[in-house]
Amino acid sequence: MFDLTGGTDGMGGLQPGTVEGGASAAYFNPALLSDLPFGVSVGFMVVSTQIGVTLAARPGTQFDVPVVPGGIANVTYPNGSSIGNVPIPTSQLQNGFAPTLGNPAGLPAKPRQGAGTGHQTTAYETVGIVVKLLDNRLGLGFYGIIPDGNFTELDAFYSDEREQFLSNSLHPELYGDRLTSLSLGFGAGYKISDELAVGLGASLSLAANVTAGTYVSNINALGHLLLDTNASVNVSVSPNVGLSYRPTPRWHFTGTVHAPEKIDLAIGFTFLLATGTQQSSTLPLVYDYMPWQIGAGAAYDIVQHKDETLTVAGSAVFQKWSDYVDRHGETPIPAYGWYDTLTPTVGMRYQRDATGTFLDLQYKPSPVPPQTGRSDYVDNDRLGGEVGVDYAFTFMHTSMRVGGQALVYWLIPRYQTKLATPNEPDGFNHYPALVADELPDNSVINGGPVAGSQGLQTNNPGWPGFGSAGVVLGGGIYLTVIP
Amino acid sequence: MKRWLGLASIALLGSCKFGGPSANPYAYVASDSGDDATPEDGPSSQGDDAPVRSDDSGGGLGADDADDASTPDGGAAGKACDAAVAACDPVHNTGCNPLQQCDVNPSVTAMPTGNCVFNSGSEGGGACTMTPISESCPPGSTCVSGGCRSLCYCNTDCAAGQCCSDTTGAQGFTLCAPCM
Repeated sequence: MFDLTGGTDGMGGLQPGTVEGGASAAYFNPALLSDLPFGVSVGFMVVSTQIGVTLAARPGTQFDVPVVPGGIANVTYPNGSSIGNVPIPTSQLQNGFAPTLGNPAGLPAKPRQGAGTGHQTTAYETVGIVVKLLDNRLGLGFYGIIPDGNFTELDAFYSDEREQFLSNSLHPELYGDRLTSLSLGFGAGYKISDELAVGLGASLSLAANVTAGTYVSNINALGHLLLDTNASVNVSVSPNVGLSYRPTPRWHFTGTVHAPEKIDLAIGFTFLLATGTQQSSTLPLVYDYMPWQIGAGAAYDIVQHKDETLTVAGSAVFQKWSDYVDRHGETPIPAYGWYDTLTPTVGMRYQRDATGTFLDLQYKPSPVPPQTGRSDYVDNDRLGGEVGVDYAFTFMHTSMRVGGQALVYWLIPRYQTKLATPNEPDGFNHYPALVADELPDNSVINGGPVAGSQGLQTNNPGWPGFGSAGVVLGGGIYLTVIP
Repeated sequence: MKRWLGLASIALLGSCKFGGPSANPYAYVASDSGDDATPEDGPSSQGDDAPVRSDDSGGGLGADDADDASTPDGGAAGKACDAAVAACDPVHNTGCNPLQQCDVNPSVTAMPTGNCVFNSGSEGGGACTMTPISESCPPGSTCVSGGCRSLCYCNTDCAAGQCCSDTTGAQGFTLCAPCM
């Protein structure tokens, strides 16, 4: 969330690690806290993502998982072993089927991209505080972005053919629930000299464990399932450090390092069947993963008068996305390994008397390589800008600042076509990086071959290709009281 | 205005990507080692989910597949001397930018995972060091119990007289050790 909105409580804009804003420096660059006055700020912000995902049409029914007389669940290898994750016949997946005697619940339709996400608008409250100590050389800060509605949302999905069993849709990888998690940061900045300040901060995340023991008396009547749960939630801390150096009155250099952040959720479950069979498994989930981030920036006052200042600022943030861990705790394979990225931002600040304005422009390359294989991570290069205004005034003998900003990102349209998967007549998946053949060519049923099993059959929602594009719009206002 | 356009252009040109895909998506992966690499052998040798990746697999090979692939082959014919390792390949030192090398990432246990780190150099024969951002051992090896150990997927990755057999290192990775 911090990565998308930047500083929302002052002149930080999209370069909050380089330009002093407000209490949000506690997260972006705690060294800047030493330059800020004591104050309390509150704000309101709205972010709307409008990201569309378009799937290419399937070219023919020969690529469908067929309806198998006798039931696809009974398809095996020639030696009688299971084919693993049994796919759902494509037509039944798309259209569902009515309840039958053998399947009284039927199957609801799961049309491709019928449950896609990417269009959401979320409102947030922001709160921050800066406290000064030690003759104003030490600044302590806290900053939080709290989503309205749910305290935090954690939505997992698979980014390959496994998602057919769930939403049968593709979802933007770096948006969605990542924009609804609680974002809290605190830090301390100490001014070693008039030129140099250092800072240490941390952001808070959650780490939860849930274990569930279940007893299934009748697999056809799960309403009678018995279940106990044990849950624990811990807070994890991700540190960051910052540096601020002013070699001359006009120049300002900054540096920041942020350690990886994530929300861990471990789910363990045990099923005990009436037959006495018991099986256990665990499932690690990872949400809101942010990699190592190293930032550097510089600002220069082109004009520096008593009542007027014009500053240009530039910064860049290196993000080590090659370590990315998706919501199911999986990392992209080398053939589709993610890029590390460098995101540059340039901008300008103009301060005249009590009024300040800013403009920032940013280009953020996507870390996701073209998804021409099995995986379907959806992401786009992002071009954006933010404008803002800040006004200082006095009310009832108390200094205050009020301001607002608006941001817009354009997610540059992107389209990718899947590579062809070579035939695998022996039934093995020899090309694991490519779209998987979910019905092996040598599969059998009732001792005979399965019609329609030759070549590729897949329900991968992203096959044979998909595109994505969209915009992200946001805006907010804030009030800072400086007693 | 021209200055602004210039700055914007610099910003666009300055945006960079590093690393990224480090393997051929058409790389052929043998299904299993030696003579049991046929589906007719049944689940005992193949596993229920080997041909189509399992539900706990990574973005590519399943974790089980990856473990299988990194198991020493003992020179068995037909075994691909490769494995599914996330992020980067510490055995062959691929997937990182030119300034870094790939080391094992012991903090990720769900599947074998590499980590791009800086080489901190050796300290003249002293114990090696390994941190989340640095490694003192040369590429292709990793620091285990204070000593540099060569990583491997199969025997051909090891020096003469050594076999890819020691699994006491980071989970999911195998080390070269004297052949028994």
